[in-house]
Amino acid sequence: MTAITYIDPARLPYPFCPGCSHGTVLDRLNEAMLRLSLDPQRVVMVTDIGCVGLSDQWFVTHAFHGLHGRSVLYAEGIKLAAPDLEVIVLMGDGAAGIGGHHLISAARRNIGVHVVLFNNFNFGMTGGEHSVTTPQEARTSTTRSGQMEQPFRIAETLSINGAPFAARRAAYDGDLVDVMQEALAFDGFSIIEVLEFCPSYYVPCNQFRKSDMEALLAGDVFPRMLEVRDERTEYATYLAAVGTDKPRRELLHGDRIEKRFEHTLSDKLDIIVAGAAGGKVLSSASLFARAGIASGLFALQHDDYPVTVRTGHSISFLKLSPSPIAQMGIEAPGILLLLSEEGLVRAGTFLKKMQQNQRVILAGDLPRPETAAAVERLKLDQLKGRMPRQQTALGVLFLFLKKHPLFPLEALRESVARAQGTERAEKLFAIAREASDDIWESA
Amino acid sequence: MAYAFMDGAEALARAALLAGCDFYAGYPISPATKIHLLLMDALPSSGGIAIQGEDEIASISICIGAAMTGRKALTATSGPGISLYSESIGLAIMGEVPLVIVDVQRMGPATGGATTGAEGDVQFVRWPTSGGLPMIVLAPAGLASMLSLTVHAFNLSETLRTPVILLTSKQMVLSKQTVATDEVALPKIRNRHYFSDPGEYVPYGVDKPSDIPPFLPMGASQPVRFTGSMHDARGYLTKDPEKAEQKLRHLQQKITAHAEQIESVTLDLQKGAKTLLLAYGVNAPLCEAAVQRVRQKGKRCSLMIIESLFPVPEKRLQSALQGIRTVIVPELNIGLYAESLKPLLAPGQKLIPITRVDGEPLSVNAILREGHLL
Ligand code: SF4
Repeated sequence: MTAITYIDPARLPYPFCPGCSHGTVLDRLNEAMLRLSLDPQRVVMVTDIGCVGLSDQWFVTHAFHGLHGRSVLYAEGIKLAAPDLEVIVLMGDGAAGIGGHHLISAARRNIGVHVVLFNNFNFGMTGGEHSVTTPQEARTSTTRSGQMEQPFRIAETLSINGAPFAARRAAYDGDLVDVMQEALAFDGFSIIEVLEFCPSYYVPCNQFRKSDMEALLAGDVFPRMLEVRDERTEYATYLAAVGTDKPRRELLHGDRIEKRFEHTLSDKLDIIVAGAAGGKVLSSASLFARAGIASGLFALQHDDYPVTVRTGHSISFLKLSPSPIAQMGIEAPGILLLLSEEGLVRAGTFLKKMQQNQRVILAGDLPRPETAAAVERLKLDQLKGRMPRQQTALGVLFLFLKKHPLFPLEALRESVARAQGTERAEKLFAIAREASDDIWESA
Repeated sequence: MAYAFMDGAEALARAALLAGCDFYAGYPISPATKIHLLLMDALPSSGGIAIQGEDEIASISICIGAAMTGRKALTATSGPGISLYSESIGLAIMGEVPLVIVDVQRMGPATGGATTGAEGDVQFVRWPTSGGLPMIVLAPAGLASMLSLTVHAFNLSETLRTPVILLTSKQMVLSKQTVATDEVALPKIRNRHYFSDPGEYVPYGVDKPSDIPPFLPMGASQPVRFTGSMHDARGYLTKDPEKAEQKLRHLQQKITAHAEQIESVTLDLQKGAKTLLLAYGVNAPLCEAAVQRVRQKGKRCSLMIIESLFPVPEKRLQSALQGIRTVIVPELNIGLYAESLKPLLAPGQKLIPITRVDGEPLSVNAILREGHLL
């Protein structure tokens, strides 16, 4: 027997039943680690639930024992956060069932964690129930007349889903240490599925002997295999290399609006801007709000659009007020700007609630809706060729501001210039300033 | 003075970065996706890591692994996701993991209304997992509160080595508001206590039950043992009733004994007031406005805004309840937080829950009317 280094001698023997393969596999793993002279303080053994989940307690390395089937996830978190650690996952076939999706995802990512999957074809700890790897027709405490389900072929599944290192061996195989050594040294995700005996359940239930194991290994479902495709970048290395400082800086310091203008509002004003998806309604409303804030107003904006974002309506609810705003919802807006049919349909409920002292503004040739509010039309065809469709929402807000100077047109120009450049800001500013009053008609 | 026009998601993400958050994992879900997008963009720089998990269980589990290497981790989700987080929240409690968990509430149960606001998770996050141990739940009461409370959440998770739930809602996270960022006083940033003694490291060793075990990361020069199973001070599994009791009492007392450190409430008590308006979350600004209106009419009314929902700030509540006949609690659920207040009420003190569950916000007028405040 090899000198015990990573296994804590004070804790031996292992806690497993006599003849259980788990102890053998742990000994082989210990040998492989010895060959690589891993620094035990740079190694984390990650386990979850089942008999094999007890294993981490026999190691002198760091140990992480978590929830059933999730060990590979903790391992991924550890590896991403501390890429220079060796992270080894010890999990059973039960865990491969409840957490199979995580194994596949880890393989797809190619995070450099090393999985040893102890496959003894059933749940040992809880009483010999069938697992996702129970061979067809095998008997377990829950498949008394034989397993019907086809077994989950872990190594093959992970291999075809991106695992650059996937192997299968029997616990007694002479080259298990060699394969483990190779797997642990591999720069990327590796999995070794080790076929095992569970002498307390699976073995007696199926009179499962070494010859039966060999028959399995000689068949199509659980063959010995070693697939290595070393061409992908390890994920933690990749992640450490990507990213720029820009988004972080912007999030921390980006948004500073200084008060440079004066507003004319004496009381709060609710505005709804209702248009269609793709019409830049939300961003335009937001620029309008910023211009208000630069003029000393408080603003609140929330938006509404269908989950299929590129279709249907797109509405911004905007509140402007000389004092802080408590109320979020809008019952009936002071101003309703209708930019499209979609907006008109969605704003129907508000149109019914609006009163004479409130105002509906129709952009272009939208039909005049039924409402008690005053209705004005903005004859956009006068601007044909001057205002691109994409800028209608913003353009209408400029024109509205010229007619109803809640704050200076210059405030909106500055807000737009800051976000979208001076060219667009100057152009829309000029359109609004030069527009004559007859662009408006009462409808 | 400079202002920002930002939504709650931006405020939360900004404050998380200021608090030193350097690890994020999450899964896209409305209405928490904005936070997901912001942190996925902002973290991969200055050593930060952000990853999208294959599902919510993966996301919180990856965070737990990262947190145990010393990272300050955050994950964000909504109702269906927080339901999937449940088991892992238990792991974070048991393993004593510093972790900030954001729940952006939406209409539930199940898929509910993915883009409709609500506050229906209040009691769920109070006992979010099996085993019955206290949980810290903080609920921002506005945008400025979102900034400061996010830092508070990190501070508590770090210093108490525990998961902290930051409970907010769609309305708060997706509404843009004016905030005078320069005026928001953020709490001083506090980090977990690292083990630095020359002696042997005992991963879960504490002198008294309310102490917090010092931290060493996976990869330290002494072995670190982490486990979600019942364990002794050294992190080995145990069934010893005495050790099990020690562990569970510790997990209880490390929260209850630090009630004052956790507590975050604003009291605006008016002498002689017989009515107390009690608010949290998205209704807090409405209640401030409602109280102003009541007082303008020459009537008396006290106001209490609770940011630290759980543990229930009992002492502060008891002092606020002195001389009060009626407590009014507006909520966007069936009256969930009111349930936690009932045991604190004296005989004769009346509770008026004002509830709305149609996905729309309450209004100042509705609070004044249903609370019989004018
Ligand atoms: S029950 Fe089976 S797997 Fe578990 S220790 Fe016993 S033999 Fe090994």
